[in-house]
Amino acid sequence: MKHKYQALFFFLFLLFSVFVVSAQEKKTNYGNTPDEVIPYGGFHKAYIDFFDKPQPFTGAGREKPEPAGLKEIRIGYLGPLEGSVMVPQGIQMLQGAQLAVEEANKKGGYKGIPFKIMEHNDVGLWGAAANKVVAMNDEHVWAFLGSIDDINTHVALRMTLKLEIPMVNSGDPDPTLTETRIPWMIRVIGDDRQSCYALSEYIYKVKKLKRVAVLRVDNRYGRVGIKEFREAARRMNHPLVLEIRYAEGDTTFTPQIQRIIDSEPDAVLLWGNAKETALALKQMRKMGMNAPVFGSDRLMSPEFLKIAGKDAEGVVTTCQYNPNLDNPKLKAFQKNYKKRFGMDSDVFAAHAYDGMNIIIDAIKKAGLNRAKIRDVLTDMKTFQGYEGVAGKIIFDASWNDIGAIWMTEVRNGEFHFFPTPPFTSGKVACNN
Amino acid sequence: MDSLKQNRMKGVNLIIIVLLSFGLFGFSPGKRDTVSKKNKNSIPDTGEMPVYGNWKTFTKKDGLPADKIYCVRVDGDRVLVGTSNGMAVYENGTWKTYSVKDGLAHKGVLSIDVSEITGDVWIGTLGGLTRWSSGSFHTFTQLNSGLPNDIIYSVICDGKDVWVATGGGAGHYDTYSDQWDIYMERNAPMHEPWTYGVCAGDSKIFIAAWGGGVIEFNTKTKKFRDYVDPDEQMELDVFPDDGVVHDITTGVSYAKGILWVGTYFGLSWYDGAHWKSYFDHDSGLLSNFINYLKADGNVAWMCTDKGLSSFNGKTWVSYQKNETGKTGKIIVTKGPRIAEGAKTKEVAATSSICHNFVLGIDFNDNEIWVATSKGLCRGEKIK
Amino acid sequence: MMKKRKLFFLLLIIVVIVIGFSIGPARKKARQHVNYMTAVDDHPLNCLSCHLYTQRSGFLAKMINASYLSPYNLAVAPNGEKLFVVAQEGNALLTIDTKTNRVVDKIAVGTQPHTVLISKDGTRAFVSNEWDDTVYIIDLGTSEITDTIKTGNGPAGMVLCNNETTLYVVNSFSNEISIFDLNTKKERKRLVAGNNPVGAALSPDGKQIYISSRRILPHKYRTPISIEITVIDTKTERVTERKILNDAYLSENVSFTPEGDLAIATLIRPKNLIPSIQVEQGFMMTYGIAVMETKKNGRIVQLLTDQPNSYCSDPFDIVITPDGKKAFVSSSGADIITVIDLTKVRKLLAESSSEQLKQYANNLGVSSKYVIKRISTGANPKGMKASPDGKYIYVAERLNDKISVINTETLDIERTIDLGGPKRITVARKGRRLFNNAGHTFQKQYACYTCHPDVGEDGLVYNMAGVGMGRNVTNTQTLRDIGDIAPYKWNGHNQSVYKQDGMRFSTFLTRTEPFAYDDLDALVAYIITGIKNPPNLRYNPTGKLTDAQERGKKIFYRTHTNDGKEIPPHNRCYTCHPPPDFTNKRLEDVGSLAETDDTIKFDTPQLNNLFNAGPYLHDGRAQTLEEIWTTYDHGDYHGVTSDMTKDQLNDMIEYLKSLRDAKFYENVNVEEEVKKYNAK
Repeated sequence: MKHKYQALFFFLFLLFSVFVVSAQEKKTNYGNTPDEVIPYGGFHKAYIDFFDKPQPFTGAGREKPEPAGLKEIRIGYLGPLEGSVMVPQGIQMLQGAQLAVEEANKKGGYKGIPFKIMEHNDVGLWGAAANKVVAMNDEHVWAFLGSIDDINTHVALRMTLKLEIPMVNSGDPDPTLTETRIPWMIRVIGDDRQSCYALSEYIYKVKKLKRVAVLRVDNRYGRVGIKEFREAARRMNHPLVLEIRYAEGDTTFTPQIQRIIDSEPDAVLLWGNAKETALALKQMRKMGMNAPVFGSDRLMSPEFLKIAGKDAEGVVTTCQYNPNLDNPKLKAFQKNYKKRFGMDSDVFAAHAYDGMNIIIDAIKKAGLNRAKIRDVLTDMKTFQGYEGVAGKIIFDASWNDIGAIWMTEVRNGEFHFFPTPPFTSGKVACNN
Repeated sequence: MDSLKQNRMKGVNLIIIVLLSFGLFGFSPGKRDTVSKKNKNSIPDTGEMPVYGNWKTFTKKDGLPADKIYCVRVDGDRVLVGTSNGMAVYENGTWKTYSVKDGLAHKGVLSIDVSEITGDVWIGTLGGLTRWSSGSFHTFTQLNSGLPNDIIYSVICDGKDVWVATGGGAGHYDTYSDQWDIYMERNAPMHEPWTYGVCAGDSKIFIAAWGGGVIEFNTKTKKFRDYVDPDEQMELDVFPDDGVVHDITTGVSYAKGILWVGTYFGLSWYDGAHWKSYFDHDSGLLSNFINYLKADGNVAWMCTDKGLSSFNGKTWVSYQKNETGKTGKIIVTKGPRIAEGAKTKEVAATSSICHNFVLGIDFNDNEIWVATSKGLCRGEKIK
Repeated sequence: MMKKRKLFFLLLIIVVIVIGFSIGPARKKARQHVNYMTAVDDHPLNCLSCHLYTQRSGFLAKMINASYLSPYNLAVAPNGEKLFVVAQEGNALLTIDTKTNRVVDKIAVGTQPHTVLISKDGTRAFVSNEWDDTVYIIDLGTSEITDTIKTGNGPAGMVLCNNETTLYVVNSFSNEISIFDLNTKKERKRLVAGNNPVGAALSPDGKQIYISSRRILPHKYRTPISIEITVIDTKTERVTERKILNDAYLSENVSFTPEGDLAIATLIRPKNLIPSIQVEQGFMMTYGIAVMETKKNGRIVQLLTDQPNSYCSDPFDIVITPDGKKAFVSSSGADIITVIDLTKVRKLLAESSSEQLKQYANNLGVSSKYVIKRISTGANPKGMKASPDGKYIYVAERLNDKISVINTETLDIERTIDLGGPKRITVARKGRRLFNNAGHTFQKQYACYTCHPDVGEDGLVYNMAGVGMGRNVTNTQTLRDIGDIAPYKWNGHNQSVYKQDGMRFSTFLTRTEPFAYDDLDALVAYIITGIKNPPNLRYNPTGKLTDAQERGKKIFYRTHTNDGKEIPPHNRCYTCHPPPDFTNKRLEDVGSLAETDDTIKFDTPQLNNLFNAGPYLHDGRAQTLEEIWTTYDHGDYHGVTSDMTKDQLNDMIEYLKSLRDAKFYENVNVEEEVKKYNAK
């Protein structure tokens, strides 16, 4: 009799499992990596894949009771607010977050208690971003939003595990940020890995260009950002013909451009801030280099268009959202943002708005307990497929947003958005 | 999405289901032997590996200032404990807490070491480095001294030298010359200045560099060399035993000529010529997520998010708390890796470590002290 | 023939000058010049007082000055037959036959020797050379230096223990205690001491060592101060306790009672948090001892040695007689030895409540309960030692080149031993005596030395109340090597040391009659003739910079920021701090003005030997060099540093710490340095 029940249970379990598997979305490679560019894909199956499932947090903290008598629910903001070239982006990010908080407070905040942003500038000297996380901990924030600069964001991230503060990143596209396995952060913006794959597909497959030279800024954004493109290019059998650097703040690029010209590329990929890349582009055109130019997401800015002028025509970049989409939520956000702050929102504002709304929702769902807020943020259910103003958020197992990003092309002095090309399968051409 | 692979996943899940079903019917072809009722509580022969039991837990109720314990350091007859709310000292059976009002740089104490020469206690906090010397506190911060950054993830004393691992670089303080040196990406083989662990041994300093593997500094020649993941990929490890398992390193410890490297992705072992890798799926390591590790003689202790593992290159002994109650288990894996014939046996224990999220460890002759996410516990050597 | 002609012309010039200054427009010019330099109109027109006695080098300087011995510390042979005296300026160890009272041997030792110890068998002497970072071990049989031990920076007090197999040396400049194994002559370890530790004493049972210290411990700005007495266990060779003496500093020496139940240290209690107008009420600086019970959790009681209206300034040494009944304190600024009856002290401790004991620290009258005599000595009594039989106390009269011998029964000076120094008192020597003596201050409250120990600075911040009380608090400045860096005072109001130490000095500081002009001239001559800084052996012993210092020097001379922007010339380090003195001798605004400051600009300080001159900035708000830029320079007012990485700031500070006396930089060409360090 007992065995009969066991057999029945096994049959039902089998049936249920097959149903569940069939109902799931199809699994993609880690980080949306096209088959063709999987590391060592043509050589050897990896001994271990690290990000096939989310890293749990098994520490204590969930048992802590919700504090009573709070006058405000504090949420941290960590971003560039002074002393950095990224301040305009930091302000957009702060304003996006503020709008989300103000809207939430109009709806009653958290059980009638208003949310409050605790602002922290991450540009202090010598690893100050981490010190700011300590300061936020001392202020008893429940979670924080931050940041944009990859170095500052990384050092802040390291603190989140020590202090157990949930962190939502809405502005740093550094691919390695979500590859540390610290289970206290999610990212709600597409990373440079997605940009690199989109650009490599577009350049090599769509445009069928073969010889690409890279001019990049000599800092972590340039070094880490370009890595996936370099490797994808190699694996697609088109290793870079040149990768050359410039220092942040440089205004003349003649030696680098001459070397690019000498390398006879079919295309040039610029990876850096808007100002320097725009100047480099102008000088490139002046020196007779007329190959098509592609760029990282930071080129998608009014500053780039202003400096580069007509030379910007035809430049193709990636962008982590499309401001022109006919999306009612996006339109409402853009309208409310302009009304509140007197300026147009940008990509950092939109993602910060989404990121802050996610934090607010997580607090409302989990209550005032950091570990439980973390659990909600990382459960791969509550916010999986979240429809934000910047698009749909799809988390992979490292809580990286692998949702759709966009591409832009400058035409008639304006950015025109179009979807990234679908990955096409190609022959694995490289062993690593 | 075009890259979805529905069919392939179906196959994988079916295999898992079949394996699970075998488990339901009592089959256990996995790495761990089922403990028979007959020898359920007998600990197998662990060779030279010590085994600890009779655990006692200390929490706020016992006088600690907080339940979250970042680190523990045994100093002769006393035990120094770094918590999220100050440093507690256990001496003669009582606890005394020191915090900011006493002169501590910050209440969050991440790391503690004691100078063997002077007996001075060096306390790494979330707000600076404090030297506690016979009741007197002196604090070094990034604003009042050459300290690279105020958040001290790790501090060690090496003779007259004090080393700290910070997010602003590895700091070296020569107590004789009063000079600070900072090692970072500009003067050492690191990509970034983010350092989170440091240890010393055989005239070498080993630094766990976040994203940069392990940096070795020879104190005699003043030369650096680095050890990084040979496959250069964050998301995978192509081959085991080819180098440090991942560039995101969390801790280093050196003893008896062996360098042990902890990461959130597994454990690495290096004897100066060969590397070995240990993961939770192929060895007795409880989890790949290693918060901290410390080697003592031939034995290394890995503080993971799923319990405490110890290993001497031959045998693993791990300690895990059961989900409810105060009981736990001792898991003995004889043999370094499953592929090398390792066999595992679990033994029920009436007492256990106080929490499975282990953050720090230290020991003296017959006792082991374990810092966890919820409480500090002390075990006695039972074998 | 040529010689005669030269002599004639020289005499002619002198005659012309004398006549010129005696009558006519030259005299008027001279008067104007003297009036300007002295800020008074009645200073005698005496060219020599300024232009001869302030000579620092050359033939004239040699002629007008003399090489004194300046006995500082001493030791007595175990059999009492010989006395060994450290001659601080003579750089010698003098041996005196106590029967004949004659110097029988003179052994050359290192620079600025501090302390001498004699082994129990009387065969070896240990001499710490404070400015050489060495200890000499001397065979007293042959007078040969048998070993030289390398110490930390500024070796001062010493202790022999563990059957004389271990030597403890107090490193006064690097704030440590070095422990040496005398079998191997190797340093075993260094322990952290207080700030500027100096004196050391071994407990009678040999188990503990107490170390006194002079400078204050780090503390919150403008709050009460404290110093440390470091206690070491000789068995574990570790610091076991750091006793804190509150509201006190400049504890020069410490001594144990024969029973070992008490340790007594000298100290000064400054009232630096109140305006200096307080001087007129007395009680600005008080002097005394800390009586420390050596048992666990023992009390620490501070007792004054002063009397109402008369102070025993600058206590230096303390000696307790072998019978434990009397303690002798050398009050070096008052030229007296204060004798304390320890039986009465014990009675006081036993009878007084804890509240009463606290009050004694501020009670000028209480000394009548235990001070039984004040014995006048020659100038500036410093180190003392008791004879083995306890009958005599030997006192080193530093600025008298003599040893006075006090009979411990009669409490009189029984005899004086002349060490054989120069018999004449030079103008600078006279000035030095004035500098070290409190007699010119209202109620003898303090000497120049009190706030300028060793002619440096005491590390305190004072409110020299002139116009407004509580305003213009200032950090004491060093007086070493300041001859060429007028103007003086932080506000730069004093164009000369004459003005600084003249009328204004008496108005704001001494609060009594100003110095007589010949005394003022002597004092200025002493200060101006060049008081050397100790050699910077810790950070720059040879002149060859370390890698970090060299990198820091490049930053010091940089003209562009890290991102290539030109630094305005007025905001470069070397513009305001050019060598050799590292000051442009002008008033500058570095953004450090406090609400309580009247002036917006401050005299640019010299940077020579600044490594141990903290706190920093005009009001001493920066406790470390780092804080000048990390905490108190918001907006790159004090040079451009905001672009620097942390290691660059560290490097720059390492360079600043390397700076030595100005003489080492006299030939430095700033333009060449700028060119060299900014070359691509």
